Amino acid sequence: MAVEVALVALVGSSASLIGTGEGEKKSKTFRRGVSGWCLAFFGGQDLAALVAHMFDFHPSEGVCVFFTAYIGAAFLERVLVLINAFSARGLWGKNDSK
Amino acid sequence: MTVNDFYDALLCALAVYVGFKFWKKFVHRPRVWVLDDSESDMMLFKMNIKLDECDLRYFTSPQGIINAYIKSLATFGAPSCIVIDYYLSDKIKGDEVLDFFKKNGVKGVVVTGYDGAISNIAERDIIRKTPNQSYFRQVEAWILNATGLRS
Repeated sequence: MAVEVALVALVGSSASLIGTGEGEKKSKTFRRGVSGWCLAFFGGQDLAALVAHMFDFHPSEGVCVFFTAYIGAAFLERVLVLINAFSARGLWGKNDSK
Repeated sequence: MTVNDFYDALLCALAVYVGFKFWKKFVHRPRVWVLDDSESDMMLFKMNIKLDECDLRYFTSPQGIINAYIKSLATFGAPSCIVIDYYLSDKIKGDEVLDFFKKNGVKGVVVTGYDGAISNIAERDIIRKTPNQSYFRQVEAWILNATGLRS
């Protein structure tokens, strides 16, 4: 049911914000929450089906949707940070001196 | 999805919350990165900063710190906060490094012996170097606040 998926995605995206947001822009926190929720709402059940198809164990759909929201947002954020870091490295030079 | 699935997700959220609190209290040690091109300043910093609760790591160039940051993103070892000298020997100044890390969610502060105003850094993000111990105590206090060890 869409309402339950939406609620679980909300729980997951809220959980992904634990420990973050201190000294961070509100827009960034909001973006992380929304991207986690969207990932879970639109892709969480598909991921659950994929896991059930690929592995022997069948995790609950709720758990899959929750972890999609929880980990997905952090993963997307990390990809963005990596892109920024690589572009900064390009600007600052590539000499690896520590 | 059934109601049971919803309860499963709530249980997961509870487990994640408890796990996070446990990790933060008993396992996590904040990582503090220090960027200073001057060996003598770095030596003074190492001698005077006493933070047993944190892991301090020192860098002498922006290239070194950015490479380490890229590696740390893959190994979940990103710093909690950074302390940057303003005048670096490279063409990059501390404000650019601070700006990059702040944009990516890492708290930072610039330390400098320069007395005048620095236009593109807020005064709260600057600690002025002084020849006495008060400078090091100020840096320690900032690190403790930034890492959440002292609120």
